[in-house]
Amino acid sequence: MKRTALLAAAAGLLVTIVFLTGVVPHPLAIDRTKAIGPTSESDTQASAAGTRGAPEEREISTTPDAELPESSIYHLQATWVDRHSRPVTLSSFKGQPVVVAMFYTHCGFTCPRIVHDLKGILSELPRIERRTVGVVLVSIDPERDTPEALKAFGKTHGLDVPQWTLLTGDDRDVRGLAAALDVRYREEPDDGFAHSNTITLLDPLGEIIAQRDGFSTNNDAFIAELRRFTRASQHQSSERNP
Amino acid sequence: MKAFNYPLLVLSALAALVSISVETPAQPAPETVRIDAGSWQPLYGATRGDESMVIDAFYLSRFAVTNGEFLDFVRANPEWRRSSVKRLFADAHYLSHWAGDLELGPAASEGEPVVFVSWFAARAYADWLGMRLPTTAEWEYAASAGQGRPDGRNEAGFYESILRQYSARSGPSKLGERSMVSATGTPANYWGVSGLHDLIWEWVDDFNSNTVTGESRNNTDLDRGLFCGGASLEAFDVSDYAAFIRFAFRSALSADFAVSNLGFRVAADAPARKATAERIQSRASK
Repeated sequence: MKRTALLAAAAGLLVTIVFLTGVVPHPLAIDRTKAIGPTSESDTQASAAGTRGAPEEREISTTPDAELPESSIYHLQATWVDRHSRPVTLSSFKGQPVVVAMFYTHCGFTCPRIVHDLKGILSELPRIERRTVGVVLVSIDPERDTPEALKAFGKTHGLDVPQWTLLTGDDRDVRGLAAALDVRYREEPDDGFAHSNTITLLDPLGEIIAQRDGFSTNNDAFIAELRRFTRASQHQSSERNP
Repeated sequence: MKAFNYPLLVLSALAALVSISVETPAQPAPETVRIDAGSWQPLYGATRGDESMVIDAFYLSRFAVTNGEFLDFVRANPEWRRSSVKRLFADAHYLSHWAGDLELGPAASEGEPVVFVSWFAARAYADWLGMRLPTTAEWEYAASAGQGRPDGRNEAGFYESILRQYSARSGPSKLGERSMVSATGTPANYWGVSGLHDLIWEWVDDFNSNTVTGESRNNTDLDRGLFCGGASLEAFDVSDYAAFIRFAFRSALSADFAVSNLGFRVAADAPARKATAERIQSRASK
């Protein structure tokens, strides 16, 4: 009798251990769904806050991402790769004004034109302000635009590090960044890509300040906006180094 | 008879009972149908009439995602609740028809397709399920099915019926006055998919691959400075006016838009049945 009881107890315990540790899925339970979505620290804070506070209140997170305004592009969590195969997140550009465009290396006409226009914009800045600007080009053709292809493109067009950053990444992340920047693109079966020609100015916290579409506009307005930030950075820098 | 070791027996019985009663939240699994591989002609194309795309087999949810399903999502993912969501990911109209973060209220019935959701939110929902949004090509391919066959475009009244739905949809109606139609309440097409034309507009993963701009319906004065892409941007098959309307609508969207008649459904990859895929490929390239 005692042996039976012991066997029953052991069986019961074994069953419990097996199901609770998930070694075998419980017939009546299904895996907990993982919460997926923006996964920055501030979001974890916000989600904790969300369960505590009143629905209409917004609690302020105390993590570094809390400094970012809500509409900052830097809330996108993608990791990109540059021409030297180094991982890069866009939020690493926090603190400086950034001019960003999307392109691909095999683009025949408009992408070289975009690069030309970006150089033109930079050359309009006094040299001392110019170096405060980060220029970021993100490929819409990650399949062909490997780090090596980006490196070759950078060399051909004289796009020096550290001012120019060329990035490639995941298709899904490319679609997400394009969506956030309001850039349209579509792969054509035999013909490269159809894409909009947009240059975007981000402020030091990653918010879109200005955009320029197409080539028929002149760049004065864009440059004026850019200089609001480059003058401020330059001024701060000269205050630190009198 | 020796004393039965009751405490131990009770303990083991309790242990077994506990393991049975432990219940982790069920992962939602939308009803999907498998859409077989096929070929589809995009609306745009330099050589329309010739160029067909091969669509790999995929799964598509039978119905649009509902308010009830989306509520489960925001319960599990607080960063997507109305009061928490970042402006980058959804504009100020996000879930504005709900009564609260976690309360649907009278203007949003549980079984109705969820609207006022942005592209980012729709994508996040699909991610949560381990799925994705359908592409434009997949959506259009599934939507070109009639009642009785995969390609409904030669069925009598196919286009007319869709256009009638669209004009009803764009008619004036205040949010509180529109009739609540369940996501499951409309007839299914050949594939068993419902509501593609007669309920709401739907997000697709590559909505920003749709590039109508300005007066490009005339297609003669397309500003070449705005877009790089040659002749393909200028050639639209306007005999399928309903598709053109959808194309134009998607072109007007931004990823953060939360709109009163725009929702979504979900999709997933499916392994192609090899022989079928090869047959389609060879037919398409003829």
